[in-house]
Amino acid sequence: MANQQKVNLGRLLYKRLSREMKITANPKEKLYDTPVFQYIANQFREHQVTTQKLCKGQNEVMMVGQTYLCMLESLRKSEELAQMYKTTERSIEQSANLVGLKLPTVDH
Amino acid sequence: MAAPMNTCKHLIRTLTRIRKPKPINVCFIRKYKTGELKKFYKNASIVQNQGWFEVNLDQRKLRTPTGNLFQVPSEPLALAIATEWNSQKETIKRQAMHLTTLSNTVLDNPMQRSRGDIVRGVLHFLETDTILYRSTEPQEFLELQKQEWDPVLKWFRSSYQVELDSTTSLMPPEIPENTEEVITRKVNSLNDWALVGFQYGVENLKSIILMLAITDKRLTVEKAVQLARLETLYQTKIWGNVQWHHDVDIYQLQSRVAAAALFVHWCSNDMATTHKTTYSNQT
Repeated sequence: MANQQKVNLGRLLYKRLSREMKITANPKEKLYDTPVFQYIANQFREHQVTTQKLCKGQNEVMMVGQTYLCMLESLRKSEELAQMYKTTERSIEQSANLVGLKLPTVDH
Repeated sequence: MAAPMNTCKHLIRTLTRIRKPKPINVCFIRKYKTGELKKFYKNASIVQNQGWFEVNLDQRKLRTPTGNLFQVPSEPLALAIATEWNSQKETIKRQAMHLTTLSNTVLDNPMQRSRGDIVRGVLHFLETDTILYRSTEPQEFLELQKQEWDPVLKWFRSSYQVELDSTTSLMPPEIPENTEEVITRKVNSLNDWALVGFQYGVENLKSIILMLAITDKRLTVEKAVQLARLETLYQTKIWGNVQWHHDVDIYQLQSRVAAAALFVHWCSNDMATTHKTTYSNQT
């Protein structure tokens, strides 16, 4: 039962990692060809859990995968928030206009 | 008639000898202008060179801000850095490239820090560790701290065989000598690269214990960041969450700490893993 949960977690991690990589990576080439994705796929292949024993190694690699996923997701989300709440700084005149004032004029 | 021809040939020969094909190692001064830098390459890839991994932007080698060659000791780290460069859209946003920045810090050492300096800086956080400082009111918050921080403290005490108590006063808690020695030894056991990453993580979390929990794979980065911001979390539950302040803070902290954790993991020497084979009918 616990093993099935682990396998599911693994699958979920794989799916989310692939999604993040797709978003951030170069749109021109296929994701499958990139060396990064190949490395990730190899890691998943190499560290497949045994069905009977509890592998500490498996947990460790999963945690690394989760940490990398966390980094990618956090970067993307913080960028999205920055874009969403982006404003340009108002000029002095515009700020004055907000409260119905005008800038004083200088008579030469 | 023959003489000018000969000098001509000689000239051409010397010119072609000068322009021998060399690997292009151009130092990009323009990269470090203060204005916005456009993305000037199409693809970032990695190459291996005498046990080190370098990053190539198109055909040109990546360099650190002071002009040194950019080399990292581990392949997944190089791949992740190449991904950072690849994920830049039209402009280069260096503030999003944490792994690159960390590597540059190790390679350049801009503040001329020795190992001792860095270790001392990390140990400084031991007596002002976040999860040791308990606030006595409100009562609910005290309970929350006990509930969330105590298990981590318990794990830390048992796994490192040290004594460390939390405090409710403003004064830093008394750190037993044994504890300090054990933690110093643990931090000193990291190599130069992992040490810089570890220090960056501790700086951001303001807690050694939480960073150790991450590097020992006991806590996820999300959970550790949550624990580091427990008070803020408690307050936002009562007073509301401001997305453009609190969420931005969370995501920035998470990305930095995750980068630090990955840096420590990938640069540590215990990267050799034994591969477990898949058993099908084992009992």
